[in-house]
Amino acid sequence: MAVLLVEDLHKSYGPVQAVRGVSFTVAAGEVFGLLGPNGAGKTTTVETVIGLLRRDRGKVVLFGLDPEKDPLSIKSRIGVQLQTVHLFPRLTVLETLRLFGSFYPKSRSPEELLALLGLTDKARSPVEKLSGGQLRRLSVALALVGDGEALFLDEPTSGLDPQSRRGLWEVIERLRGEGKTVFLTTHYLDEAERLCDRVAIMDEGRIIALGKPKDLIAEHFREKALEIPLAGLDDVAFFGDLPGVVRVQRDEDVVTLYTQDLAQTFLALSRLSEVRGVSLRNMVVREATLEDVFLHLTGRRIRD
Amino acid sequence: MRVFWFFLMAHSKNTFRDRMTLFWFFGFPVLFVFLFGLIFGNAGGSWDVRLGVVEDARLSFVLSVFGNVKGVELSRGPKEGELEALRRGQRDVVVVFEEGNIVFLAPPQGVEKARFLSGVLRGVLLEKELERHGLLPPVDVTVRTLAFPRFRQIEYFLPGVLAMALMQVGLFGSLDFVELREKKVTRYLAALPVQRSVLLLSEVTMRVGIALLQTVVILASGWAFFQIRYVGALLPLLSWVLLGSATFVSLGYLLTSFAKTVESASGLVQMVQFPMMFLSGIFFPPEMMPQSLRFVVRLFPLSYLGDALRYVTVGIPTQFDLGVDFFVLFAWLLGSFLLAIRFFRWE
Repeated sequence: MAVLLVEDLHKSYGPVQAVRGVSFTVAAGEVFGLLGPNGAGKTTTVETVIGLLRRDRGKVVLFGLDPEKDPLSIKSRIGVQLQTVHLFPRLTVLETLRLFGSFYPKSRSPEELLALLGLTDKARSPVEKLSGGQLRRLSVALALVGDGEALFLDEPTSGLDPQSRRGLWEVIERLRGEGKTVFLTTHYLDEAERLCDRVAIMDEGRIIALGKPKDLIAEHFREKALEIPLAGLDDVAFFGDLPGVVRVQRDEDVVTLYTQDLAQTFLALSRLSEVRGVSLRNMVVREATLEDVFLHLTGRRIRD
Repeated sequence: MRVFWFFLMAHSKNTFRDRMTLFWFFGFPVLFVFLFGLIFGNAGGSWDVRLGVVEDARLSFVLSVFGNVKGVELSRGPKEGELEALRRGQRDVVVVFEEGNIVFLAPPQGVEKARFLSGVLRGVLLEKELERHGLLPPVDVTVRTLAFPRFRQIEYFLPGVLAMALMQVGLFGSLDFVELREKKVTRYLAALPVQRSVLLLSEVTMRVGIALLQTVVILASGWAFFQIRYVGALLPLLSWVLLGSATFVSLGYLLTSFAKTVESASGLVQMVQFPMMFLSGIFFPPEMMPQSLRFVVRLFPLSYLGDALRYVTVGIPTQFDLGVDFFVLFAWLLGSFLLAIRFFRWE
């Protein structure tokens, strides 16, 4: 059953078309990721879906209701974390969680949430004394405090150190285990690949690919990727003539070869290295990732 | 209701944990009372006498007697004018001629000065008469205490400080909301299952609570430092404090709805509050202002709040009449309340 249905969603800010015709559904219990670079329209999509922004055109159905028309009954069933959150600066973390808990018919224990997000030792700190990463984790805790059935997390891991990021991944895994529906946005491809049941890749206000991460990769790449660091080589077209290579992607001083036949390509490369003086010392072989999918579809890397 | 209490607690904690806010809302007015009182206020500190002599040919010799006495400041005028000056505390003692008597009129705290002056006069007269005829003077000298009190400067000033404090909480307090709006907290609240009006309502409630607390603190400081005695009843005082703070809270929200950031809102508020503070006669009587500026006193709501508060706390006669005070303040309240609603913005 679909918790969320979005059809042909449009939203503009004056002359800027932030979202231009986006459609997708999110099923109950699913972790759904909206993936894309900054400015792709992810936040606008989230804010329109939860009724914080009015859409220009299209259809949004959340729990069978239109979030623009029936906000209060919807709002008590969802948890929302947004990008810019500033709270009462001199209220402590615990007090803030209690305040937000009072908005919902049932709420999770603040202490449990603090432990879950690694904020227990900050419980009595005023919010204004928190670091950026701690604020971000508090904002996630606030999204969870109402124990909503569906959670909307906008860039939950942005600005976090690697350890906190992993911690948050565990939190999301746990929410999945509890049967929650999670809708998150991210510009980290590894995160989307690892956490999400399905992802929608968004660029310039449109969804350019949608599906399970594995399927997306398989659809666009049956090949393995070979990354070779290059210095001072201008023409890389000759790599395309190597056996097995189906595509060559130049990205600053790294060239990526996508090959259907790793052994053949290897062999040819080692011969080439003698002839052309190409150094294979730091070569990396890897499976194709969502990053490759994005690069393939847009010609750009996601964090450019 | 539960959410309201949570919000009210959140606002209160957020406010009372800010030392600067505490200073401006409580410390500053008390400091003001204390310093002003030290400089101008405490009666009985000086033995200079301001003596008013009613224009009457039979009293001209009084002028010649006291003309050279050190520490006596003489003024002369028609009877009504001098009595009015005495009532306003601009004279300590007034001399009149009544039914064959020279009478020294003084409020209770001026009695000693009046006795002193009458003693001097009696002595001088006796001496003069003895010199001339060896006879007693045809006029007697009596001292009569008047019922109306003379007010000390501090008693005029303290209700003004209270009015100022109420204005500050109303006007500057609304900056908190601008901050929440600027930092998009109010926008964020739209995504939560809570009526945003509860946020506003709890904030206004806290503001009025602070106003009441200020009233207690300021009146208590006047009593503790300068032994001010309050004559008004509690209910009228409470009503005026509530009316005043409601007026300035509305005015504060109205002003800050035109500002995007805390900085610009703060500038806007200061532009309004500074002229009002100094030109509404809350710290000194409008008679001390140049004639050309006196009309502005009648424009500001603070003038009327100060006027009413002076009456209901220490009993200083009103300048405009209580009815006028109420009418003008209420008009300001209604006007700024309606306009504040009209121009209100959540985001």
